[in-house]
Amino acid sequence: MLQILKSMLTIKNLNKTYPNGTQALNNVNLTLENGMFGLLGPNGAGKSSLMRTIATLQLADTGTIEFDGIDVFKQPGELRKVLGYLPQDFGVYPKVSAEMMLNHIAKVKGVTNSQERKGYVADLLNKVNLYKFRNRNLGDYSGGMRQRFGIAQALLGNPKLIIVDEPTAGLDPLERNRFHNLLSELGENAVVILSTHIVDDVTNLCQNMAVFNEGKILVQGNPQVLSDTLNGKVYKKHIDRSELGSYENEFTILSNYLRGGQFYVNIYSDTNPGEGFEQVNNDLEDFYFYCINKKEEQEEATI
Amino acid sequence: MMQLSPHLQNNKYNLMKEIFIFELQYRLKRPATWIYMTLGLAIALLIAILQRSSTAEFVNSPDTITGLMGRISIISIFFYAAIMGVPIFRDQDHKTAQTYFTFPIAQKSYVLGRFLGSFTIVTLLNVFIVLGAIIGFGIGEFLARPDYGDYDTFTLSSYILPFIFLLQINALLVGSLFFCLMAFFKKMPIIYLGGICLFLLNTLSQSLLGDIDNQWLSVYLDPFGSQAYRFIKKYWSINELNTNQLPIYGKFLLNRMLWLAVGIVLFLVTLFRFDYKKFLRSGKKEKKTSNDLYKPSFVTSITQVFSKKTQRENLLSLSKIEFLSIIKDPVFVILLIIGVIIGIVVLFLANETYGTPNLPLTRYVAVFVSGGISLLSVIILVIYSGEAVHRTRKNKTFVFYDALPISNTSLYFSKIISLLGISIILALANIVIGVLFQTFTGYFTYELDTYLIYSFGLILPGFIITVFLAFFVHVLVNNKFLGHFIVILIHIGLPLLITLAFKSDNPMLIYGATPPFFLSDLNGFGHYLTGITWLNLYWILMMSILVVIGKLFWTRGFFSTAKERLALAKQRFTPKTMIGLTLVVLAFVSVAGYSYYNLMVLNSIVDGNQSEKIQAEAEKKYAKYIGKAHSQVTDLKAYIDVFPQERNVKAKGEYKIINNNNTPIDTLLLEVQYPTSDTKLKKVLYNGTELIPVVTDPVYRMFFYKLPKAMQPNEKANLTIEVFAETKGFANSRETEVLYNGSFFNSTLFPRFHYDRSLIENGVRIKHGLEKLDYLYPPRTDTIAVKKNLFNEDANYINFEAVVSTSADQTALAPGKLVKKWQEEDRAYYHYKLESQTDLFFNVVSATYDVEKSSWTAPSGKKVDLEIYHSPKHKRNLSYFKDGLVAGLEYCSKNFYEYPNSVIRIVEFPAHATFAQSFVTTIPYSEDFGFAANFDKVEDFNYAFRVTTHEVAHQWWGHLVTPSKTSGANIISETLAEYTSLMTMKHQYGENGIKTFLKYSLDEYLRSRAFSFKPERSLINVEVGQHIWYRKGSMVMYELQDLIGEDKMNTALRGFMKEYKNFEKGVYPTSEDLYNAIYAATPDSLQYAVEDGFKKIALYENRVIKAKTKKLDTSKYETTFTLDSKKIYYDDNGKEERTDHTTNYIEIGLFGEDIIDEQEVPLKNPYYLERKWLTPGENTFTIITDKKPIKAGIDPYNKLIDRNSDDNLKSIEED
Repeated sequence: MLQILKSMLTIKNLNKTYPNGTQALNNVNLTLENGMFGLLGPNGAGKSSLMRTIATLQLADTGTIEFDGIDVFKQPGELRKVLGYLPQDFGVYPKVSAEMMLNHIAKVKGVTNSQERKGYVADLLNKVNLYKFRNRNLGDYSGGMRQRFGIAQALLGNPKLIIVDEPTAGLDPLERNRFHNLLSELGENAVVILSTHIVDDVTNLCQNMAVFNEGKILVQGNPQVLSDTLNGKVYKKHIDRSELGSYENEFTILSNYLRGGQFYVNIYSDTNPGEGFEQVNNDLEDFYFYCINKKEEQEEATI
Repeated sequence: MMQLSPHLQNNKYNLMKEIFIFELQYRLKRPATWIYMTLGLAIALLIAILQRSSTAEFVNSPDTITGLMGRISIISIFFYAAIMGVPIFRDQDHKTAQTYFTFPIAQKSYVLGRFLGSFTIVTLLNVFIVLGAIIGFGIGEFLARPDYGDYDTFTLSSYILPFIFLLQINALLVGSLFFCLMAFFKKMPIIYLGGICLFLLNTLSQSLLGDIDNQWLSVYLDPFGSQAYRFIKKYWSINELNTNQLPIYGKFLLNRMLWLAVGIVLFLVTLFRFDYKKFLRSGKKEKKTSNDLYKPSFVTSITQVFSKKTQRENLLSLSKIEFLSIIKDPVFVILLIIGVIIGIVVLFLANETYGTPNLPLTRYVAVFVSGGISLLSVIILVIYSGEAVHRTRKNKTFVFYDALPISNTSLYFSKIISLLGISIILALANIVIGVLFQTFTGYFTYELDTYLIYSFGLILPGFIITVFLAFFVHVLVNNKFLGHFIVILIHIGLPLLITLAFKSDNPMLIYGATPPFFLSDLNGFGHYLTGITWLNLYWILMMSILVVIGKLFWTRGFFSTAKERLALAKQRFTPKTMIGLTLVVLAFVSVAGYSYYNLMVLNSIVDGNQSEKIQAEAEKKYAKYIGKAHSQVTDLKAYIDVFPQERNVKAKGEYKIINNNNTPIDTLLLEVQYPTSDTKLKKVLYNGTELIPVVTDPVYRMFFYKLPKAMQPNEKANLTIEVFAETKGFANSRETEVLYNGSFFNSTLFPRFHYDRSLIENGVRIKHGLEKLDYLYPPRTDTIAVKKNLFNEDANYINFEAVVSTSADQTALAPGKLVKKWQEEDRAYYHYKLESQTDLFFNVVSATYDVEKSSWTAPSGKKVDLEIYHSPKHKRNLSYFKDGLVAGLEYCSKNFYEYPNSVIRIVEFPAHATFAQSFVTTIPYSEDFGFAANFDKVEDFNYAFRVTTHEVAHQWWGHLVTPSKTSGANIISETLAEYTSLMTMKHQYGENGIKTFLKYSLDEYLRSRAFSFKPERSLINVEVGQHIWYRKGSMVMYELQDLIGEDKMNTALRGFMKEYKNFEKGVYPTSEDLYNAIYAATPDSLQYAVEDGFKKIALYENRVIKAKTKKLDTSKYETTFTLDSKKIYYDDNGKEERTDHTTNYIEIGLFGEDIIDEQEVPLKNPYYLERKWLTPGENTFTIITDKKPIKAGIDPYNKLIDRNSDDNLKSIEED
């Protein structure tokens, strides 16, 4: 009998409040299957807390996480065997070479056959374009190289659950593409969680995503579908910078930005506001801002 | 230069103030700051409370306070590092520096503000230390403990001066250094390194103080001022220690200003050269790239196995990474190199005796190298245990690493394994340094087994427990400084507290302690390894418990609050862990139980307080027997069986005793004195009847027997005493009496017939309600006391015979001529019979020996056998011992009396002590006292020859003439032996070469005066104090024979000997008798010198003020020089009594360059040398010499006791 192995990550009612009172996770519920999942949210939204919690590095106050029958809080060791984790801000043993360290991590991930391991690590180093620098001590790596090393260790050992937190920070566009290719390749056979604040990454890579802010999942779904919910409701206008205040009072501003040195605002409106606004081909970014701003508005309203 | 506008300057000032106040507020809010303050106060308080003085120095004398502050200011390096090192570090570590320096803050304001803020906190800490000391001494005085000494009234300046000149200046120096290092190197370990270097300079200057020629260097080298102060005060009397405040002038001030200047320069360098751009730039290094081409492996799929085996492999693999992270750290390498350097320096400095190098024997090299390197090793291990705990946190590797499928066990133990690896490297370093040192000094007799046992059996376990403890502390305490501090506190503070406060040396209580041992060429490691290994196991297992507990609290991931850690610990406390913990605890309990059984049940540990109490109780009970009539021995035949392997001894003494008193004796008192605690009196037979004790005191080991019939005056009797002394298991003492190879014990094997006081320290006596004793012995006028001899009042002169047996491979020795030797039941027997008579004072020695035999013929033609019993390893220096024997026999036989026996021997015993002791015909001699010395350089002090002549002289002074049991009488034995020895030296090296020996005696006497634990006695009254009867005695006797002539002196001594030898006169001589003999031989005009030497404490302060020479037409030289002479009399506390106003007959002279003789010994080269009557104050002389003199001198050979012997010679200026 042929069985198609599909993994599944289930997060239920996850809550976490730090001793200083910050509520990092606020009743998070998620169910993920194989494929790339984008977790989009601003800095400080609690994405990293969620990632760490899934990656067994932190306990939650309440709630459960289950991956393919593994209770993450009770059997962290089991999860670690199938986990690939690239945290946002990590360090390295400065006096150890990349090859030695990866070799070690391969061992830790159960690659016991030394011949096999050697070739495998070399392949991996080549994949992340570090083969040339494999004998250099990690402490002497540049930020980008270190990030690539991080990617290599996260991908090592065919993980079933891959968590990458702001993975492309510090990578040049070329390396970024390279990484995206690698990631999407892996996404076919694993649950991949990509935490980022770069909307394009999600657009390009993910079939499924969530907008995450203040410890909560605001919305979840297919990026295109979500984006399409705003179709025809996003308008832009070229305004003077000093006018921003008055526009803010009048409209739901999604974002303001410069294009070719000109100052623009994007607004959300159910109807055409006229007054020089023109409808735009809205994208995921507009939706993202829409979600986040809506949240803020609601809060203001409750005050 | 740009001119700042007033406004800007004002702004700059405000900014500085802002940063200063921020720094202050930040620090004062931090709990760590207050922890440091509390610790500073507590340490000072504790040391002050426990401060103790057994001399007449006040407990809170200015000198003691200075010493205390000096020590604390070294301990405080930690606090200074934590407070002064971190402000800039904080910006670096918390990544605030990047933003901070983008603010419009002038760098100087930044540096100045931070520095002043930190320094204010440090000052506050120092104030706390001073307060701690003040309160501590206050409490100490309030507790009214007579055994701790007397207290002086509170003097504020005694605290203020050390506060300013030690604490504050040191804080500034250390602070500036750390501030500077942090600003430029940005690395915490570099700060440690800086601190260690300062500490090493201090240690170096301390060891230099022991070197008479180089000690002046310590004034410049000591960064903390405490050693400079010790150098200044070295000749201070107790009175001066009590009254002199810290000398803020001269060389001490120079030292302080020098290091203050260093501190200020460091600070200014930081202030003016600190560059925040540089601070932010990280170092660029050469980087590796490999240009070989990538070959695809075609590994398409991998298999992942998670088994026990993988876990083990992971553990090893991670251990390797952790290990590499340590040994690749440049700071580790630097620390190790420093350690190696110290090891070598210590070896060079310490491997000597009396300034003469020892041979680089493995046992010396191993001990000294580890002595030098072990402190740094411990520092390395403590630092890197902290690093290992914090490494992945600090470098943020844990952020991904902790999510890898590696078990907590592997994660945790990998760090410990890496540290154990470092421990092994450090232990190996000991061996490598040692072997290299031996090789470079051309000594190739490596004893690798000694090295290996010492490094891995003795040193490594200490490292292991350090690692375990430090690791555990760091796991629990999240603050690195605090962690280090706690570890050091447990390491040093705890043992100190137990030793000082509880006076206990129980190795089960003192962190890391093992039973004492010594290394020897004769005895090797002896029986000591057993006890040491058990105790090492005990400590390792105790620390292992901590290690297992630490595992529960290991932080993995982002768990930080105490609550979370506790919850996790509970979760991690799995059955497996529980079983592991139980096993370790069980093992620990078993080992602890076995050790306890050996140390405390089979043997006992009596701490200082207990032992004082036992002695005091005994005195209260038995003092009434002091001076009471008891029988005395006339003949002794001893049967002594030594069992080296079992370390037991069995003995039977057949005594003939007599009642020499005019009252009957009805009781026999026997006090067991033998050090082995399990010494039993098996049988006591009186005229064939067995006696049973009527009173038994097993604690003080006193036994009273009722005689069947009272012993009438002059009645004689036979007494037989059988003794069995047994060692059991391992004890917390070295038990040196019977060893595997090299047993040495003396007549205390048998009990004595009388009781004597054993507590002599007045403070302790008062504490226990005993009367204060000014003198230990009866006065010279006591007519009963002059009939007792000083060494043993149980007998006068006796006939002595001994049959000694030992294992077949060993030779056993006792005084007397060997009359027979035989083998019986695999044991060797030796029968000795003494030709002359002796005090009841003999020794037994047993070991495997080679014998060097020769003979000497006495003036009368009698042949005397000379025998040197030595270890087969010690052939090298035998000729010096033989020369010493001959020189001593020759000089004494010629000048005093013919040697009464036909044999004299030197017998080597193991190195548990460094002394030689003269018994009749037999001189046991420590193997460390000349057998292992390198006397190749003739200018080095040949103490083998010197000590041998001294001990040979005791055959006359001590044995032929025995001092009476009165105050001061011991000089008849020691001072005269010293005199005789000096005379043989004079004949060997000539008068011009004697200065070295006199200078050593002078230095030793002057330095030791401050440590007199009773008031300083004059020579004629001295009862304790080797510096008086050896050093001052030899100075006085040398000067007197120089004044009146050696022949005249010897005639007087010959007369003295004739009168008192062998107790023929019916009394033993007193020091007064000796004084009178010398006084009578001295011309009237010079008798003042005899009086000064014996009855006074008179110190000269002679010096040359100026000296000029000019060439005369006759091509001769006319030299005019002015000398200042001063002689001061002191009381017994070192207080000045009066300055002498009479003239003294003192040697003056003019000298050319020193002559180096063919043996490279520097000799004085006098062109003019004569004694002159000098008036106190200035005396000017004009002398014409043939050759041009280089130096003028007053008492140029330092024959007189002069407080400053360096200014007795002065270079002559030429007109």
